[in-house]
This record gives sequence, structure tokens and C-alpha cells, in this order.
Amino acid sequence: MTIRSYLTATEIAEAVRRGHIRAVDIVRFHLDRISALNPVLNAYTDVVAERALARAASIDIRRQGGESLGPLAGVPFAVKNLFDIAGVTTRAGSAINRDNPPAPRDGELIRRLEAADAILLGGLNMGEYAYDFTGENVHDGNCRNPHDPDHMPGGSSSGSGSATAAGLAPISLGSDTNGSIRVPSSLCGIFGLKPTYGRLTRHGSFPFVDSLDHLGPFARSVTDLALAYDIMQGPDPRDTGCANRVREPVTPDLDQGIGGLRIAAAGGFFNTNGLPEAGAAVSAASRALNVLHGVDVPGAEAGRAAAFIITNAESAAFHRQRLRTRANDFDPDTRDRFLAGSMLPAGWLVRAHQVRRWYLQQVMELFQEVDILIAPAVPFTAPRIGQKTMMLRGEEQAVRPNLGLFTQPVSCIGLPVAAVPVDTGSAMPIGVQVIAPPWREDLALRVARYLERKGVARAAEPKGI
Amino acid sequence: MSGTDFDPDAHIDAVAATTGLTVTAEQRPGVRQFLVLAHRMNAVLEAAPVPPDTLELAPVFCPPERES
Repeated sequence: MTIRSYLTATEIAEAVRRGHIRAVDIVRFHLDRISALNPVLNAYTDVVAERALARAASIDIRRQGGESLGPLAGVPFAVKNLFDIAGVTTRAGSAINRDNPPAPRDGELIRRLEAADAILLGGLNMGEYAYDFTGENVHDGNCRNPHDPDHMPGGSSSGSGSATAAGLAPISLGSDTNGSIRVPSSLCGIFGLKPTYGRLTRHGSFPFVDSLDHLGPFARSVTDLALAYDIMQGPDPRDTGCANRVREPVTPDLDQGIGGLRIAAAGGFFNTNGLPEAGAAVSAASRALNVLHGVDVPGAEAGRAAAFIITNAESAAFHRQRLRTRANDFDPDTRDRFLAGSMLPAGWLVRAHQVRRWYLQQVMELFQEVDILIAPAVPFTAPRIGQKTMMLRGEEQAVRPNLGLFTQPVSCIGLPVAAVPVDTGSAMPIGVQVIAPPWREDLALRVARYLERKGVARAAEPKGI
Repeated sequence: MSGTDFDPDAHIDAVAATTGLTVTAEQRPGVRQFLVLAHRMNAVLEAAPVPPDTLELAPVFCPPERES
């Protein structure tokens, strides 16, 4: 088998397991590609080449010895730099964290993927302390969109979106608190999964908002996304937010199709009037899924406000000591949000938690009638790097907070979402959210796979590199 | 205090010291902007039709079983 760019994880693992290619050669190919493209994209902040090559050599020796290899044999992956990597300082997109000692061990999701014989290539760029939707970073430099490097990749898992879109890692991991997997997936034209809150352990990662942080994978195909997700599942008492649920693999049922599923388009707060790019994506997905009607999502605006207040207050409290002693070492935009968050009245936070519970109850009632909601992921395709305002429904509005307009109300109540890139013929990619009831990642991924098989959803190879 | 009475500068002056934080002149415009935004978000929360005289919060503390 010839090694080429954009091989899927599934293809690589099959070839390595059968001995058609060596893991060492796959890793070298990706390291060479990183050397060539990372100076443009700035997706990677840390490359653990020696570790990756050593692990690849070990896999090849085991294969030659007749050992059966894991389901991700030889598959390179990379992680947002808020994941702990043994021997590497966990920078979490900041300058301040660079003064911390290196992580003593890998984060748990890295350990699980490597137990399946995947190979870690390094840490990926991100917005400072994850409080970002753009991919800009004053400390490590801006990450860039491989479809057009003058444009944002989205954030805060900017490097994850950029790297996987550019073929620098078939699988990457990111985090999503208010949209930080779904926004870069959509702007970079790849698939992303934000699982149910509490599904995947966060042990061994640097937090942002304990009440809202989710970890999840990016990939260029739904099969790869599902495979990585299945391997990472399982309880972990070391993360107090991780649910004590047994693994519920989705891969076996991925090609079941959409028969019997009640699918609706999310309207109301999620309407795409005045947003032609987002509207085209939702329309294309809805047509392919034979969606006949839309539904309002009750309380979505209040849900977004609740997520805003919870995010601001919790993250500010987490950083309070750093704000006291090293305020000038923050990105000014992030710092001023945290300073404001430090001063919110307690009653606002209690009200936010109360509204979050109430909003969840409204949406669970909706899920009595509906199995899947289709919603826009982002209001527009990737803005130019440095762009501060956009026309949104005929008005000039700030880019940064509005990139998460449609994602924030969904993650507020921890619903599982597959971010799916939809082919609309637009110059830059854009995606939709396929939203399922809690703990039904299987349904979201079945619908994503159906859209992929129909040719409506695909991760196009970027032309900008 | 009505929704229009919020004075972010007075709020910063009153509250910053209690949190042990200093807001410099350079930081003030950004902090003010985000406080105004947070205040607007709280107004949306206040308007949500949550049933009165209920207090059901999202986070629920569940004490674990004792390990044997």
C-alpha cells in the first residue's frame, strides 16, 4: 500500500495490522508533513517525534512477532495542548502555564488511544485557557485554516481542527465547553464529536469550566470518529464529572441508516434568516434527511445566557490567583473576561444554574417527540484572521462571541452533538450540528454517517496548502 | 435596581477590592464591556419563565457509598 496524504485512521490501522505498511513509515510521513506545513498553519505547538517513532518501532516489532495489534494500530493522533503529555508542560494556550513543571504522565484519553496502538504525535495550538472561538493566540501565534491560511480555523481547539483538516493527524482530540470542538470542525470542514457531558473522562487535562467541559475527537470520516470515541469510552472515578456508565460502542450500528428516526430542524433561536451560508448547510442536510418540519427549541436563548454566566464565573474563580499575581501575562481579551467574571454577583450564578435545570427539562420534553435535531453550527464560514466584526442578519456584530451563538445553548445542557461538514459549494467549509438526546451518541453518529454516505457531508481536502 | 441602572464602573470600584484584584485603567474598558454583557445575560435569565418558588439547580451533590 502506498502511503499518501489523508489516509483515514481505519485505512491506516487495517494496513498496519496486515503488515502492508509499517507504523514507522506512517509516523515519518506525518512528521515530514508537519515539518512542511506547520510553519504555515501553526497547528502544532509540541511535536513528540522521538516518542512517536519509538512507539511505532515497538508496534512494528510486535506485528512482526505475530502479535495481534489494536484497532488503531499505527494511527497517528494529536491532542489540544490542554491535555497532559508525559514530559511536556501543559500550556493550555497560555504563557503562564509554561512555567509549570512537565506533566508526569499522559492524560487518560491519550492512554486509552495508545492502548489501542494509536501513536501520539504531539500537542496542538488552542485559544488561551480555552476562552476563545477564533484560533488566535498572542503567545503561540495564530493557528490558520488550511482551506485558506488567511482565515481563522475557529477555536478554542484550533490546532485540532487545522491539523486534522490538513492531514497532519487523522484523529485529534479537543475540548468543548461552549463550542470549541464544533466551531473548528465546522470552519475547517471536518467531523467532530462533542459527546454527552460526563461521557468521556477529563482526567489528565487542564480545566476551563468544570460544569461545562467536554472532551472529544475530530476526524475526517464518521467511521474514524466513531472508532476513536468507542475506544475512549468508559468510567473514571478520578473525574468527578464522569458518569459511571459502561461502554456503549456505536461502531457496530453506524450503518443502520435513519429509518424510524424522527428528525426535525431546529428553528426559533436557531433560525438562519439573514445567514445564507449557515442556511444553505442546514437546508442541504435537511433535504438529505427528508426533514419535513422545524421545531422551536424552548428556552435556548436563556440556556445560552446560563452557559455564559456559568462559564464566566467558574473560569474566573479558577484563575483568580493567576489574575492577582500575573494579570499582564494573560492575553488582554481573555484577562478582561476573567476579571469581569470575578466580580459577578453570586445570585446571577445561582439563577444561571436554576435556568440550566429548567431549560434541560424543556428540551427533554421536546425529545419525547423528536429523536434528532439539525441546527446550524456556526453563523458564517471562517472570518479572516484578525477580523473583529461581521455582518450578522444585516447588522455589524462582534465575530468572537457570535461564532459560538448556535453551539453554546446545546452544550449548556450537555447534549451529544456530531458536527458534520456539509457540501454547499461555498468557498470555505461550514457544518451543521446533529443533536441527539443525552447518552444517544449512537443516533447522532448514525445520522452523520448517513449524510456522509449520501455525499452531502464530507471532509474536503483543503486547497489552501 | 432596574435593568438600566447598572453602573459597571461603580460595580468595579465597589467589588474589585473585595476579590483582591486590581483593575487598572488599561483593563477597565474591557472589564466594563464584559460586565455589561454579563448584566444583559442575567436579564435574560431573570426573564426565563422558571416556575416561582422552586429551586432546582443543575448541579446536584451526590454523596458516594462508603468503600468497604
